[in-house]
Amino acid sequence: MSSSHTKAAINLYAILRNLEELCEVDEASQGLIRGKQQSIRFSIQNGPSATLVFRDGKCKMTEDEGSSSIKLYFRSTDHFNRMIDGAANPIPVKGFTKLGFLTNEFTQLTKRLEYYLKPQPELLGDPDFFRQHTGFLLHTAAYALGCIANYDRVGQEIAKRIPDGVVSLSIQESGQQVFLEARSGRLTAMKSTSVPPRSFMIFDTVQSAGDLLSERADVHELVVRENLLLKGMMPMIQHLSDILSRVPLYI
Amino acid sequence: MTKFDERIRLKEAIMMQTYSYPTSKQLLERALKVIPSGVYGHLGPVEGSMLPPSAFPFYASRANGAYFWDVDGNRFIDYMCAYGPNILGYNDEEVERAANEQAGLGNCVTLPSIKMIEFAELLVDTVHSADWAFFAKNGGDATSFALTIARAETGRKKAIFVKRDYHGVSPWAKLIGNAGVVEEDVSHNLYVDWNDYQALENLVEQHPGEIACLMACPYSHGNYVDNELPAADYWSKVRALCTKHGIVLAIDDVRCGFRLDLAGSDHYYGFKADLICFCKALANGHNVSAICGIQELKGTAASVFYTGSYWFSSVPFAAGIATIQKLKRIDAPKLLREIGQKLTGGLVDVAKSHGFHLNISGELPLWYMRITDDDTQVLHQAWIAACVQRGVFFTNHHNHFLNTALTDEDIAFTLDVADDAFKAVKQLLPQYA
Repeated sequence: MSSSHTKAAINLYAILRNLEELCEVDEASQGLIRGKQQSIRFSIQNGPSATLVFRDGKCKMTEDEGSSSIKLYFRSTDHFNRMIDGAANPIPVKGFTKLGFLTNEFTQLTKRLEYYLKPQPELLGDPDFFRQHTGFLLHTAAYALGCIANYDRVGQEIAKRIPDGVVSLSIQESGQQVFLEARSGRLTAMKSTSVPPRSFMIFDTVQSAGDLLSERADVHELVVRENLLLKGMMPMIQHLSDILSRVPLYI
Repeated sequence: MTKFDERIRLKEAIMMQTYSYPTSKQLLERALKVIPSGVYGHLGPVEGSMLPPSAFPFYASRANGAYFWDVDGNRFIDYMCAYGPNILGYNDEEVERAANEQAGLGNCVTLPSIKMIEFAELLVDTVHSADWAFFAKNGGDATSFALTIARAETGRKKAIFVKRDYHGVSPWAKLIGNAGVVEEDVSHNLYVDWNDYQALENLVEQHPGEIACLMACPYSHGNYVDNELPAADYWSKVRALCTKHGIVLAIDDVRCGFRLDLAGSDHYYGFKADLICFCKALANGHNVSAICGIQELKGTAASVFYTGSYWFSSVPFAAGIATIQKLKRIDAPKLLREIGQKLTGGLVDVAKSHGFHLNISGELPLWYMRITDDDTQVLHQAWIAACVQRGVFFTNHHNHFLNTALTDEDIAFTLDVADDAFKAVKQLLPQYA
């Protein structure tokens, strides 16, 4: 896969997927989708695809192609990536009468997401905001890890080395937890799992997690100080760390 | 409640006093300001399988015999042996006397000393496959030289390695995706599973006339997995395959060397390597590595310009001579196997008395152990941590090492610690009680 393809997968499956979480935790976002029944299909020529479904006050991303009220077509992964960067527009191919949701509520949702993912520095001093911001970073990192493992050529090589099983990534202070399941060299991020994890990465505080995920802290220092507790099948974590180091190439 | 408080609470319910490491922690904070990760590499808490870090000391103050002491004054029976170099016990009297005598004469001088010749002669007399010896400083120097010699000899680019084998930290010895490694560093590497002769033969036949070198450890002792000995006919078939295809067979004996067999681990498993790399136990902690080879590769080795600022230092040569002579005199491999049998047999019994299964794998002088009752290894990590906190230095996912200074009393103490550590683990992880 090309780097553009991997970046498109991350933009779609890791960045835009945060709208699910956003609509769970952000009151302003909940207000925007209240009572709305819409779905937006992102269809990328020779690239990944997914549908964002807004229903019953919730947002859900699905990769299955079902019916959607709005369908957006992108000529290439580059086209999609430029749209995410605000430098290009999608091509609507279905749902012309519903484009108001796209230009109004959906656009506001993405701005709200940007508010959390790329915050103004002064906001980071607010503990509540920092906790939310870190939560989004953790989600983004987990899903981006999956994309790099499955789409990036080097990431695929690293992923082949990961023993099968589930890795738990959590923040002890906030209770937030996400999971990565490795199976036959593929990696899937998820918010819950019925499979007991084989390895654990546990941040002691939101600050520790936020600092690492924002590249303000060194992972080795966090580990030796036990701000980041590692236990279980360490090869899973070591190889994930190699994949994690490729995230800045794309975000 | 802090992690240290938790340990104190735990201590109330068990017999043995557990260690604390306030000075180590202070020094770590100081080091973090000026040293990447405070302690980097294989002696560091992260890469060194020392989890959780709070269970382990970070800095040593001194060492003697089978023990080292940390900066907080805690004594540890050292079953890592500096990750291998300590084979006769720290500060071995004979080795240190030889080193000190040479230091009085000179060490790093414009010309090499006669000790280099004497050491090479001793290795050629000792190591079964050696017709010559060449000295460097680290195991990685030796393995890199072996690969270079093979390429120079054959004019070929590719090399075959066994998955999970460790040959040092040069970029060629790492994997794509490791930090700082570019594809070109490993683009001529081919990998096979250990003990899968057919896969190896297939790989060789897929690359006719392209493979310069097959480099492997004498047996599989990767981290995190049970170690695996060679199948009965594995090495004889590999030897024949390499000979048939003109591939240089290089054995990385850096970790096993002189613990299995003073004549080389290839000799121990009944075959003859073309090149064999030594370091670790070669000079009981003095800084020298060696590569030995067959007569046919001597000229090629001479044609490769390969050197370093301290590679001709004579003190490590003198220490190496004294080490090999003493290892021969006491038949160290036999002694280490006996010690290993007593120790690992005892550990298995202690585990069994608590209802746990401790699997011992690999060769006894550098055994690997793993509690098999828990797929996540969390239980194993907790038990190892509890042993360390009671004065027995194990690590989690690496093979351990024995030295000849260990006594029956040390083993008895180790087994007492193991017993107490299992009691502690049952309190810490009640699901295993």
